Amino acid sequence: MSRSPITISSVIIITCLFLVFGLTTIAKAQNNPHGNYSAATDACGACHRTHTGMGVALRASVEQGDDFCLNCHDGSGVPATAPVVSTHANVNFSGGSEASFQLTCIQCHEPHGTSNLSSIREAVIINTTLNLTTGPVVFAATSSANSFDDGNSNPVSHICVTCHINSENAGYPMAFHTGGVNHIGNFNYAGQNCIACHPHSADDDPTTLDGFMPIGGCTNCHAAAQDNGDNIPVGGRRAVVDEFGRTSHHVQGSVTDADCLVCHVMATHTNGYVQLKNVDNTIIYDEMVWGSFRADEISNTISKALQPFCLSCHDSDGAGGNTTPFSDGQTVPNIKGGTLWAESAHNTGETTNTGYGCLGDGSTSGCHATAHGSNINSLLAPSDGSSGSNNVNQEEGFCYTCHNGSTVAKDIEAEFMRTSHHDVNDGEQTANGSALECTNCHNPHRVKNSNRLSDPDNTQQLWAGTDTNFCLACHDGNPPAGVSFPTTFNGTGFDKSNYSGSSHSTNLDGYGCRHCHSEHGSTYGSLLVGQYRKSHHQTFTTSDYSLCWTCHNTSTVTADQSAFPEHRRHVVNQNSPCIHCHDVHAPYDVGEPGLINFVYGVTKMDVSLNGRTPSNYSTAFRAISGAQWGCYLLCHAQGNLNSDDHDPQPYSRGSADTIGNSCTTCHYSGGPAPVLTVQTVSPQFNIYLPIILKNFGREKSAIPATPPLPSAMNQPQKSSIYLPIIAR
Amino acid sequence: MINKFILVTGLLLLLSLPAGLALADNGPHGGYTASTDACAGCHRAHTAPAPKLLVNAVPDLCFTCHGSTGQGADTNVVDGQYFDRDIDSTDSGEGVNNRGLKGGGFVNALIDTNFDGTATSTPVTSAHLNDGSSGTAWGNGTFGSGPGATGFGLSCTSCHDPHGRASSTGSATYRLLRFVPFNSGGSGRNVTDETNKLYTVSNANNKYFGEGYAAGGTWLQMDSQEAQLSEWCMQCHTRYLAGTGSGNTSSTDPVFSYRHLSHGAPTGGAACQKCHNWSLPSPPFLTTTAGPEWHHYVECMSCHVAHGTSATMNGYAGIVEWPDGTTSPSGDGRSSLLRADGRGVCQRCHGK
Repeated sequence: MSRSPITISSVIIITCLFLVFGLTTIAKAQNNPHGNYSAATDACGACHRTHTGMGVALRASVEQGDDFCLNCHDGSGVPATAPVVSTHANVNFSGGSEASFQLTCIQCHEPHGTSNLSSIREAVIINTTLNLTTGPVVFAATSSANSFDDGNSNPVSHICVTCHINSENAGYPMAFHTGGVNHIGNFNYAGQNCIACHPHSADDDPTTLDGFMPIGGCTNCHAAAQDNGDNIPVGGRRAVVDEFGRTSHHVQGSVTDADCLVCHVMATHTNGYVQLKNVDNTIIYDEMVWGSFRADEISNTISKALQPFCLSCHDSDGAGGNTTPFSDGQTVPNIKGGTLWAESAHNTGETTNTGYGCLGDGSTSGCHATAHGSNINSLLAPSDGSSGSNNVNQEEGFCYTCHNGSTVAKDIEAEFMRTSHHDVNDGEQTANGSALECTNCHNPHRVKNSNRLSDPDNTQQLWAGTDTNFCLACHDGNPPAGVSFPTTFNGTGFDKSNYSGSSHSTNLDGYGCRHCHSEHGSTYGSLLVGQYRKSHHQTFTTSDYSLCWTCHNTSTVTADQSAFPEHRRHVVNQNSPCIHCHDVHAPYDVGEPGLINFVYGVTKMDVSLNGRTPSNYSTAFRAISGAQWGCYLLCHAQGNLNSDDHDPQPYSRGSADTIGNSCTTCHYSGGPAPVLTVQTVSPQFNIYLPIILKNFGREKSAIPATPPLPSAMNQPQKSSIYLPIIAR
Repeated sequence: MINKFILVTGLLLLLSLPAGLALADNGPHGGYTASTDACAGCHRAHTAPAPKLLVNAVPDLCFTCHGSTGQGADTNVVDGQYFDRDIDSTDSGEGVNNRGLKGGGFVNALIDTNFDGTATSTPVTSAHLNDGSSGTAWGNGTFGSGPGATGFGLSCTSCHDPHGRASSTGSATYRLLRFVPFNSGGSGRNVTDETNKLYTVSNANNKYFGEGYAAGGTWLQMDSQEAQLSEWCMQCHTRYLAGTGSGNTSSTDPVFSYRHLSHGAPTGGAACQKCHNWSLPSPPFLTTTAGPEWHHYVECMSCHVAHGTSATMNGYAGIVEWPDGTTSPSGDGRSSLLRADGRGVCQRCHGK
């Protein structure tokens, strides 16, 4: 019958007894049951049976030698205070360089306790065959004086050294365990806690013979904070392994030692100074002052100097040709992008400053807190999320840190606070189900003052298309990944894919969406740059459609000076808004004149298609013959009791409409020669509109004083080249 | 008239002491003459209320004299103390008044179990059965016969013969011990009676550990009472008897495999060197590091008392499984008649 020295029930009982009788009964010292015995000690019973011993020396179980010790020290948690150990050996350690060896527990430990910690023998047995001992060993602390190797006292008194310097010991000579100043990286480990890297069981499996074998320096040692009290670096070394488990981090999965060495150099390991390497060359980046590479202490100068280190991996060839340098197999994002990052505003600073490096605090230096991991997105600062880990602080809020009129003059945050805006606001996105962030339009590693846009479908590239197409990258019914629209809307919908080819688009080509919309936010609805009323049954005033009047003459409506001679009746007399009959982006049927589209009127207002046959959007407005067109909405249906009802009224599109601004609205004598583009879509309407071209950097002062720009066009940064638009 | 008065008074006095004079192998316990009166101390020929014509059943009959309030004997085995309380003045010197009895007590004991120099009467934590009820005689039987004999009834008279002259030859034995304890299955062992009886421990502070059984509490050579007692105890606890080397040599018994020496002298240089250092200039080469309780002989009585102990068992000592693998009772109930708290009996010799 084999009996374990301590059973589970025994532990329960002993725990109760512990609570009842306190420390003086059981936990007499850290060595219990190994030493510090009182006159009435109970400890003998832990290992021995007086009359019913199962092994020699009255041991309580049949296991002998180290196996007997492992009855408790096996990691089973019974008793809970027994540490997991493997005997000092390299038999089951693949990284061993020495000849195979295996020690027994009692060579170093006296199970009945000594004056040393952990019952370390004063006379350590270095050779069991010859029963040779060495010492006397003094082991009173795990670091500093009288520790494993304090570097000061007699070497034979050091528990590790006393054997490894003795020719009778298997570990002699210390060719593979140089210790001292030659241990690793010429660093002197004297006084440090050896078991931090050489634990009593390399794999926490007591059945394997690998005690005190090195456990692979990086992740095992740096899983916990290390401070041996030498104040190197100040405050000790922080635990870093867990940082790779934060919200955003390098290495997806468990970080390995090899991962660490992608970026770090070990030449002066443990001296407190971080060393980083440029994988494309031999440049080593030394942290000259402890902590100067830390995000909360780094200067922008150092951050800029470290930039090549980051870019040495984040370029087209990854880490020296390896685009998947980490164990996770993930491809390194190419931040450098040839010259794109170098030319980007964040790097150059444009006219604001000298630009930024990668690492920093997110305001005075770079944006990224650490290469390890951050509690907010994209390794952004602060890594601990102390600014708040909510989405605002890691998305638009992070950008606002500078783009709020402080560091950068233009207050983008204020623009997004206007009445209508793109919903980058986290709270609004939560409410309406949309998704859009600054980086969908502006890659912070790419954009610059001369091109502030990145391709929404491939943000690694700067935008190279027209303004209209940029907007349509999202508003084409197929937005890029990560972009989605609100579930409800107040206008004609977010899909503007039909805009291309429409008369507005054709005649305003080069102007694009921004002729009518602002990009971030507006005090008018739908991000419009002027008033455009969508509601009906409101008394007409010309200011309701001031946006329209920037191109169209009010007389086209108020005096029926357009192809449709009933504008005044509809708009002025009946207070119908333009959107009742028009979609400024596109007609319902391609090519239909006048951007006629009743969808909004039918779905959002009181216009009905029910009535005459055929009754759908396409037939509600159709050509009758030649230039004659008719409207077939219910409100026009014959026999309807509504007093306003009437038969479809054909009308002929006139030939002398004067609905446009005068020539001098756009052209003036004595100014720069205009570049004229004449389109001959129709000879009937000649509308001259101001065109905002792409040279946005031109200042207002460069614009001739006269003639005045149309009020809605009077924006300082825009171009002043005016092209005639010939429309129908 | 005066003679009649003296006779009647004497008879009344005699009758008032039913337990008689508490003298082992004398008084009511042996040494009977042809006209002995001692029988009447315990028996009634025609009116006995208990079996064997006893005036009371065992153990109450025994405790009539040897109990807490008995006046018939100085040895109060209930409380494990010696009280000079009987009227017999001839027992002077057989014990120290108010001191603990060598065998401890069945209900209370006066033992300095924690070696703090003082002892107070404390309820026992373990004791041999004395009322005829049954328990397990651990280790009873031959090797390989299991943890012990269950259903083992035990009372005072299982071990003690109240009529004295209990040896196989009819001579007096130590403490009236029977040649063969009841139910033991033993082959018999006479334990030589003391020449000068001494019922109390020699230590004034009632420190039991280290107590020898010779005059003055010293330990005797082999074949002394201690050694004889071990052989006597082993009639019930057969496999507990272990000679030198038993701690490192298996008995092949699956339960009592490796056993601490319980009968004999420790051997080996290490054991000797606990007390002796041969490099010292002269015999007995005693060192100052020797423990005061280390002796040449280890017997059952080195660590255990016969009747009961108040030793406490905390921590590991209280959770040691019984020979059958069970763990109940645990705690103090696991004290096993030990003379010291916990494993103090180990520590006092081994000095770890």
